[in-house]
Amino acid sequence: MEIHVRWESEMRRLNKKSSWLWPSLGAVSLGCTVLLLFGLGWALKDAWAPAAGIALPSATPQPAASSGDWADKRELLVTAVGDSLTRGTGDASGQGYVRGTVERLAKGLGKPVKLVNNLGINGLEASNLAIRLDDEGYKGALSQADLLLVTIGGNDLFHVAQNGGSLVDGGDIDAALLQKRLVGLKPRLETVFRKLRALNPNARIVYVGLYSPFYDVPALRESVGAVIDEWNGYARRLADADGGITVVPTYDLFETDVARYLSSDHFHPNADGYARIAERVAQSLL
Amino acid sequence: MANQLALIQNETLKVWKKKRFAVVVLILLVLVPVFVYAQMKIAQNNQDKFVDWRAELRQRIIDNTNALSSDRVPEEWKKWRVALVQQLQYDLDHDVNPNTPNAVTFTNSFLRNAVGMFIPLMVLAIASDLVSSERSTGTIKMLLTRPVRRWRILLSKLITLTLYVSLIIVATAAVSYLVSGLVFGYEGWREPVFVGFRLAGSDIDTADVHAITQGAFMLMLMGLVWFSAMVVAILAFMVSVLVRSTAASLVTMMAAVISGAILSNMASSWKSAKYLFNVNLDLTVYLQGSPPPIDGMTLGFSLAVLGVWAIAALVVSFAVFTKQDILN
Amino acid sequence: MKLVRDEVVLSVERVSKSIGRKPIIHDITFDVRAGEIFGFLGPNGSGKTTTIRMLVDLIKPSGGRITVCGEDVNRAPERALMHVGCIVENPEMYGYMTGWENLAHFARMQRDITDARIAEVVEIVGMDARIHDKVKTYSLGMRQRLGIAQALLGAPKLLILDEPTNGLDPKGIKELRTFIRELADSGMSVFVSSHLLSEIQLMCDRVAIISKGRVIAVGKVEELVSQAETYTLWQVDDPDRAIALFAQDAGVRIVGESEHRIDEALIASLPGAIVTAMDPSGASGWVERFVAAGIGVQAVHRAAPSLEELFLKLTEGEKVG
Repeated sequence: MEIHVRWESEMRRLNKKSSWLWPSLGAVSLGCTVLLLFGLGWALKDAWAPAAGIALPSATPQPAASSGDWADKRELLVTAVGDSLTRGTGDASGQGYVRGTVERLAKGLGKPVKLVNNLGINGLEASNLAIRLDDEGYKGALSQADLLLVTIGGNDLFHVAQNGGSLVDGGDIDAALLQKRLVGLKPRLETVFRKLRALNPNARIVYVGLYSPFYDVPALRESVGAVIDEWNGYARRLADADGGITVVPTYDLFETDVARYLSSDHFHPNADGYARIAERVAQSLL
Repeated sequence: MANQLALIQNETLKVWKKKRFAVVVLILLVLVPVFVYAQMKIAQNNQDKFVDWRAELRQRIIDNTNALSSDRVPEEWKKWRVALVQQLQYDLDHDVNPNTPNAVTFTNSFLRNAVGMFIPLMVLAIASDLVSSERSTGTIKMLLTRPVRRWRILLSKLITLTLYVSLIIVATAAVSYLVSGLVFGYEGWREPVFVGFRLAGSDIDTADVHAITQGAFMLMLMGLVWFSAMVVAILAFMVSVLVRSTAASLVTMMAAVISGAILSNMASSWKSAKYLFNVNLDLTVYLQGSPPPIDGMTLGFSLAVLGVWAIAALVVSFAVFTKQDILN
Repeated sequence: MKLVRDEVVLSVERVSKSIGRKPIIHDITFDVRAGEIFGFLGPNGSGKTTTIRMLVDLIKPSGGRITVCGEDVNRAPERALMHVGCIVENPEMYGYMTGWENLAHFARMQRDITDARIAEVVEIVGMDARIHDKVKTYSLGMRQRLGIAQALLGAPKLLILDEPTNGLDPKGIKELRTFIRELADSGMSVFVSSHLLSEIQLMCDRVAIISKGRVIAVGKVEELVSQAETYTLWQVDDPDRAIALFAQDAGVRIVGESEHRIDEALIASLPGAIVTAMDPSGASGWVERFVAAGIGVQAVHRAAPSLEELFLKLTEGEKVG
């Protein structure tokens, strides 16, 4: 009897430790299971019979670039927009002229210059760009920048896909056709400039003029050159009208030694070509 | 003749005292900080690189758009990128940051990444030896010579497994939330996230898109993760009934889960692979309309496939367990 | 509830078992009555383990019926096994739990087993000191005790022990024997299997002998033993002359070393002894004849027949493991 009493007290002491284990473990795990079943049910309901959804917080206003002199600003924001030249296609190092320009500017101005976005899309034409500029998502990047770098128009003129076939012989380029198309293309550029300015009244805009990749194709040198000239001239007229747009000429950069500054696709610049463009752009701003 | 609850108590305590769950929590405590650190590095990198989250989002959209136009990108990736670009664009247009760095979004993305491999493996740590360990240690001879019908014993093990799967999922979410909160802060429950994107051919239909809170999203993710984890658990349970060795049953199931992950990534043109359970495990893709591994898979389809596998496994488990002779 | 003596507790009727197409157990029948210690004797591989597993529903018989206290073990295991406590092969318990936790675990699988009952069986098997230690730290003997404690939890009417002396030291075996006898005296039936013949002889009231899946004899241990031959061992000064004398008598047979199965310990204690089969009552006459012939008699020993001898007789030379 005595043994039993001793036993029972020891038993109670030792079992106290595990007596809470099962009730709490059971309750917690059951609670978890119920919670997860609820989550599963909710997920299925939401997928198959969607509810209205919660109200979104009101959109915060997009930051806008302030007016005023660059010299007064602590840092400069740059946004690049345009086609494969903006993207840097053909530059094996991936720098493109945009990064090169930003670096040169930072060095030249002695203050941080930050690239907000490089919005270059391969194969983009001015008409597509005009549509994209209406995207809510695009607007913020453009409106907050102090400097907009733009390359556009090349694809409109040459209908060249970014990985398009070799243009070395320019066989399918018809100068007469280009000349004819040019008339219809000019309003596209005008729309782009107008929209950019509307989005950002204060930014300086740099438009990188077109160059001809066909200087080494005798049949096209003259005729294509004329078309490029006309396009760049038109751009300059639009720029002059705006006052805050700079057109940076590039056709002469590729005049002398096309092979040295163009990449293997014979259309886009290579790393050295982009560096030369960046140098030009930076010079125009400093 | 004992009541079912007492049997469940037995099984639950055994798993607990075998420290299986402790091992799972330990793994979480070791691995989650690693992921948090990686995520922190990414966040820091993005902070240096981008002026704000919108710029980051825009850059992702543009980069993916550019990748799309490349001929070198395989067709299946394109589809996935199209969906991604449209989702991101939707977020950007509605000024909603899908990845605010906080503990809630970290947990959500961790759950989504864990559903295919990490969670199944942890579930296997418990499920694979639930029955086979009784056989390999010989305790099954004690267990089955008690005056309890065999199906009741197996049922108690199944219920125990269910409880532990739930614990694992909740523990995963909890550890992930608590650890990442140290770095990213514990806010973010009420932030919006868009769900309801639907695949319509190669495009995304946004008609049903609506915002829910990140908190609700987490609960939904956990529910879906639980469902697929349960299917893995039940299949492992069956293997554990059929195979005497715990190691063999673990390896069998791990091979199945890992091959499923590989198959899913191969996005195979082998269409009938969609009837395999292991390519259907990631139910979370359907919430945000990401393309499933194989064309023609939908939430309903995946649930049905997983359900059929689970039911078949249960039938086999109970049929075998109640009839089999314990010869060794 | 005490059972009336001679009431059948376990009944095995025409049970057979085939695995695949191979018949393992052929049509075995025996009963175990209340309060008796029933031996189940057979060499390894004779179907002993299979039979025991069928008794406790680990293996389903292909034919026949096993009932415990009138309940069919295979059709209503939850009622039949209520009356059974068992250790099949080794007493395997959950090593990661304490002895107490193991007992509590198995207690929960039956109705109405209180903590007080657990404490009681712990005391019965004398495990008090170590019961709250993890089972993986136990010696085999302690595991054996814990296994018995587990088997006794539900106050069973039938206790089934499969080779219970395996791994026990001689002292432990003796204690176990006493313990089993006490249990039987309290009215419990005990079913003990063994391949050791001496063990059954020392422990059991009745025995069933199984060989090659068939029960070849069931009966009281003494009755079966009386069927076996008795040997008389002679240790003399001059064995050669003694053998010559024995050879002259047709009533005496010299048993060769390879024929008998006398305990080696006994042989060792009587080096050079001549083993004979003779009418025991003639021994004193032979002592006089040896003395008369000048042969000194150092020892005469009558070797009790062992079940092994009996077994050999019944199974006609099957190798005993």
